[in-house]
Amino acid sequence: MTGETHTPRLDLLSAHGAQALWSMSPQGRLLVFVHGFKGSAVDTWGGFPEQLCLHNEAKGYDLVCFGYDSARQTAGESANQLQKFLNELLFNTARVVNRSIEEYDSRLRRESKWNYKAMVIVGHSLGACISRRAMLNQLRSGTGRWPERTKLVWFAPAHCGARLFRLVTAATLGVSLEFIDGVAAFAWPVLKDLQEDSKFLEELREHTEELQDNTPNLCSPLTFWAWKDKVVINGCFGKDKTPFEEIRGASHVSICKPTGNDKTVRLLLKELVYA
Amino acid sequence: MHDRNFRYLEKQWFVATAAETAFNNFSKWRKLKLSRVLQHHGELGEEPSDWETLRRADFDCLLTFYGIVEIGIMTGFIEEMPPSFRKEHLPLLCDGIVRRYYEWHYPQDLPRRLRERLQSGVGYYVLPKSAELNVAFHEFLKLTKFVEHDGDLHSFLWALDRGFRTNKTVKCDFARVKRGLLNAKRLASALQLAPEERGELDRALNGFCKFIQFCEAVSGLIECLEKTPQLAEAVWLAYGYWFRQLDTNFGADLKGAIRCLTKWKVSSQDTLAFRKRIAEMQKVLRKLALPPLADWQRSQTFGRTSISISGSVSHRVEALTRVVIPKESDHRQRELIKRFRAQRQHIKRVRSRRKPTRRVRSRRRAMMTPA
Repeated sequence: MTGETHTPRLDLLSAHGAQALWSMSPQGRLLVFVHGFKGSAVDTWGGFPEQLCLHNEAKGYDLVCFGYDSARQTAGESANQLQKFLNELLFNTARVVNRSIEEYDSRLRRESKWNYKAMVIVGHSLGACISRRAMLNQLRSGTGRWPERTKLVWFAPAHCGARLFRLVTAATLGVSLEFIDGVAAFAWPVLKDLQEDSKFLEELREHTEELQDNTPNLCSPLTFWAWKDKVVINGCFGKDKTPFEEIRGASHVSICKPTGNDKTVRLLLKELVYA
Repeated sequence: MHDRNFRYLEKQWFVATAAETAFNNFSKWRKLKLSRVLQHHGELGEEPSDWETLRRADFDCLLTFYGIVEIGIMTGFIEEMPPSFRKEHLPLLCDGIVRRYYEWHYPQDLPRRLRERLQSGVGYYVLPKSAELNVAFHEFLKLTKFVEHDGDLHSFLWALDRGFRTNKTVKCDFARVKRGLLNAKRLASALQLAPEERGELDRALNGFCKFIQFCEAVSGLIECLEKTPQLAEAVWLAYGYWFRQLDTNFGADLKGAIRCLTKWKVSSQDTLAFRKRIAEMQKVLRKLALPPLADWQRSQTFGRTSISISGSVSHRVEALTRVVIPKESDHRQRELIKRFRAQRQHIKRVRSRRKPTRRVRSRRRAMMTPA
């Protein structure tokens, strides 16, 4: 348990190790973390979900860390996977939650009609693009209305494109480099989607602009930028609320691993209250 | 209510795992068989068979489980131990052969502490329960899962521990891993391969990056625990097998591997950041080479010295008094440093006696890896 409010991390339906911290006093609220390039459901966020559990604002939230193969499938494929995952979780909530929660304590089972009233999706870097794409796909398909009850929060989003070489070196070596002698480029399929003028990003912008007036939830009320982030191109996207929050002293990788009473934790908690 | 936390740990780390196999084998085996499997590699005088290596690895998993239980109790995550646990596991922890394995051959403090806790009922430190400690405990579980189950990490550590594996007639040892790190192109190609396509060297190169990330995560966790040094120390001890060796050839090799990166040519605007990053990696390894209590104690002592030089007479007297009459906690910390040094000396002696020393868990991976 994390301060008696949530279960420990429990496995959830997913090929790539999604995990959940289920609330002990659920209020029908869900917080989903979507990691970025070469991240994972477990590592990317460090102890961030557990840190949130220390605060009353997050007490009634179920926290889910989504996992997917971020390097070897395209951004579109990852978005599709996220959409399917959320549909499964939101339309068969009690079944999915109970299957996971029973591993810990069957007394915490939810009633069969139990479901979520609100959801907050937190995306980091590529995870931001994938989350928005999944939400757009859901809106365009016309099935299920969860995007209308969803709020988006971004950490160093890559929806304006990324400097690919820097992205890879930051994700693997922990330092963003523009050039290494002898290495021409990296060839992961998803990197094409993150180029500044990629078709994926162009479509993402186009579809967001098309739908954001009717679905204001497509616009993020809170975006964190790493100060002088060299990995992603920091820029405005759609009607995402400005000014963005700049976090000094954080890098593209460390921005999503806040500790204690960091500004990021405080601001995110504020959003959770009004979700 | 709290029994469920123990059951949660048991489900994750014991039931239907190698740890349970070891537990069952302990009750089934005769002493002779047990002592053969749990001998030090140096004592065998011959290469252990694959079967022996696997069974020994099972015992390592069981000891990891005990370490987790011990830290779980310290943090208050486990509030009540089921009485059956003491009844079933204490005989194993007290067995002379098993004790020799985890107290002398491959020293692990956490299973010993759990044994003493179960024997006497007195805990070393049961910290007041708090949500922060729970967060730290979960972070610890996550890191332990990573270091126990990641194949790339095992490949790198195996090479670093002076082991080698043969992959399609190519021998992959630490010298080869270092050559791979010198060549940025080789590292880049290894990073881009899917896990199932990786050869031994590719795995080790991926493992290098992961080991650095792991060390940074452990260092970060220990820093967060500065207010609860007992727990910080316990976390360090959980990975003590690796960290104790950071001051030996193992650590020198690791630093050598990091130095390989400095040979890369990066763009001029990134040179500074790159050097800074390499210095950061080395700093983390330096910090982890000592148990946190020793490290913090040392920095405190330095602090006092500087006060005594620049400060007033009373400060100097105070500083001297502190040195002459150590407080109880100082005494304990000295004891810990002393024990740590003795263990390190022991490891050095054993390593120099018979080379190469082998780590069982890594061998297990080696056998599972298709040649």
